[in-house]
Amino acid sequence: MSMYRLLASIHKEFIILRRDWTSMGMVYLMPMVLVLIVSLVQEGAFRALKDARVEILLLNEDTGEIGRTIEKGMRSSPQFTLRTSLGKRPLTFQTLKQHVARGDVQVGLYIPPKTSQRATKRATQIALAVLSQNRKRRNPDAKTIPFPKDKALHIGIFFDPTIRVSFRHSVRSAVRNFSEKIEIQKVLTAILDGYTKALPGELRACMKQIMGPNVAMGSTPQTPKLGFPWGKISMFGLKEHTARQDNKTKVPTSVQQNVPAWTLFAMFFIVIPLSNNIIKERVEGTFTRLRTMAVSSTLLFAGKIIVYMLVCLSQLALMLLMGKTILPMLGTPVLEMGNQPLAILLVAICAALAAVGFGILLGVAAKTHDQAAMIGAISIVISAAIGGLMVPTFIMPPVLQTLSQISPLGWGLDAFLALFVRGGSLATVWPHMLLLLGFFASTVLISLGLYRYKKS
Amino acid sequence: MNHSTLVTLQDLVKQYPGSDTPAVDGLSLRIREGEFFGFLGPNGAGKTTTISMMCGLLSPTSGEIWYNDISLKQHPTACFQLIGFVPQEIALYENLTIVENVRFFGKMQGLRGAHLHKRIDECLEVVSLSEHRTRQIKHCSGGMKRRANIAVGILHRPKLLLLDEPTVGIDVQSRNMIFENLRVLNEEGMTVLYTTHYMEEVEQLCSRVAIVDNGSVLTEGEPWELLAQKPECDNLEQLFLALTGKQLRDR
Repeated sequence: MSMYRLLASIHKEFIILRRDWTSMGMVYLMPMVLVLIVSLVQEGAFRALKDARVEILLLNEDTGEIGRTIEKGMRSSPQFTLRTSLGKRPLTFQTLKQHVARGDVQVGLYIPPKTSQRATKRATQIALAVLSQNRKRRNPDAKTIPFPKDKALHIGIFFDPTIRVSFRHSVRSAVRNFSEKIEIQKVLTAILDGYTKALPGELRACMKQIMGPNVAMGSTPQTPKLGFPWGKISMFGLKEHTARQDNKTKVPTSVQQNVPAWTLFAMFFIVIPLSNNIIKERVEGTFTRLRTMAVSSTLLFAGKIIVYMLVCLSQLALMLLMGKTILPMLGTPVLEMGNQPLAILLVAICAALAAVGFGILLGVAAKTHDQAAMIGAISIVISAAIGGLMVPTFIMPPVLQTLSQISPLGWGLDAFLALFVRGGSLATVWPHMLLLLGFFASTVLISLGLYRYKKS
Repeated sequence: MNHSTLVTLQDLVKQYPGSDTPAVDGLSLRIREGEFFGFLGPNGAGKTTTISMMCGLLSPTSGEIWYNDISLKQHPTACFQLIGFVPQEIALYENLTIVENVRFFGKMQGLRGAHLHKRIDECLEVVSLSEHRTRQIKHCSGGMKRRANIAVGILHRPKLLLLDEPTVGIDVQSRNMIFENLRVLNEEGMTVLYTTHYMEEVEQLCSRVAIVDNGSVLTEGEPWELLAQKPECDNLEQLFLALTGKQLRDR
């Protein structure tokens, strides 16, 4: 293949694209509008995915009733599927974090050892403080016992960094709901014990029997008015960890998820102008004329591959720039892209090649412009949907989850998210890159074969 | 005029897959250097298939094509250098200007540098498009497009110019201009193979003609020779109808 001819072909493609305002508008404006609207819509919006069943991996190192209660609560919740083991390795704090960071499960929950013991002790301290304040109200000379100043007991929660913000809210509130029930029960029981300690044993048992239902687990906790500053002093806290592979703790934003997702969507939409370009050349006879000049089909396609790949890369650059500059002006967080620019570039090149390869295949296989536009648009939307660009794959039915493994848009998105929000590196994303390159190679080879078959 | 043979078509057969009858059936023809050769036939006679095989766009099922004793099958690249093909459709990029189109195809033919620029200027002059060189094809008239189409075909100074119905759908003035352009090229030594359905064009331009039907040559010779063989025919159109029949060729 002559470099001189290839350069001439690239130059020609550039001029044609530059003058095709409609296609260029679609290529650059569509992703900008998509990213802008979707990011703004999702940012700050609380969208509970109540119909989705979320897989939670629980590491319960507490041997007492709190661990058991949370586990039982999670297990009985229709919102969650609880797992207590995954793979062959024993579950530890570190392996739990790794599983979530890799995306094996979406949420990890960690209940530290002796949580029940510490909770009982803390509940007693709180109860004593409440009782002493009541005594002080009756007798100003009485000594008060201060509320405990040490930090609340923490239940650890890990989120897959790719999980959307709204979804995190949903899981957090569910876990908090369980812990608040336990909190109220513990403190109430301790206070009740304090009040009834002075009563004879039989009367105390009778009181407990009467008060029991109010503090039983599973009842709707009504905040009791016992002079206890509910809400100010809490027994449990949720300590949220972001499971990143680089051990950094930044919480991902909707911008980090939307910019790569919709940019990929737009990059793949390059198949429509590209396939139309090929069909136009075929129908208008320029391909035929070039064949009479001994121009090989490889050269014909190479010029297009290079130019359209550069267009895809410029789309990505524009979108990233928008995430860094325009979106923050409209109130969203600034786009954070991790610290792997080379890996981002390589993933972008692979994704662009995959998109261009598909466009060439469509251009060669489709008979008309309409056929190419329809097949192209529908297949991209389907690939985006099953690839997790629109809703996360883990909330899809099992059949679709299996299908999502064959979506090139899904491969690209996983790779970008691994770099942007999971703190991944080239070592993490090379399988995705291989898949994208394999897709590119297959589509181009099939296109060349089909082109030569049609020619003959 | 040099009368050495430039093109030899020898027992050409082309059978398309799934078709009962061959599109070209044992067609043999010689075209001499410097000729303005009319290649005539009704729709479906096998003209386009023959030209496609001559350009290397289709491979013959059997038979051979030779250019100056060079086999197209064995040395396609060398043969392509001898051919300039002007297809029936306007095979140009609509979003490129006339000169951008001509330059691009010139580069694809392997022309470069000052030689390329010189040839572009010459060819645009020949087809009278120098003044409109920066106009995009989509903004050109039908006649200008046809002439630009020819300019691309002659850029690399081919020995044989293959023209497939180059005057379809254009006005009389543009057609006249194209005729003049082609005459000049032929006088300069370029051999022309010309297909058309307009018999008056053949009478005006062609030094020799072949009439084909059902994939083979019915008759071949100089127009006056052919008319002399059929005294009942006053012109080429009558001769054409006498040889190919009056029935419609709808398929």
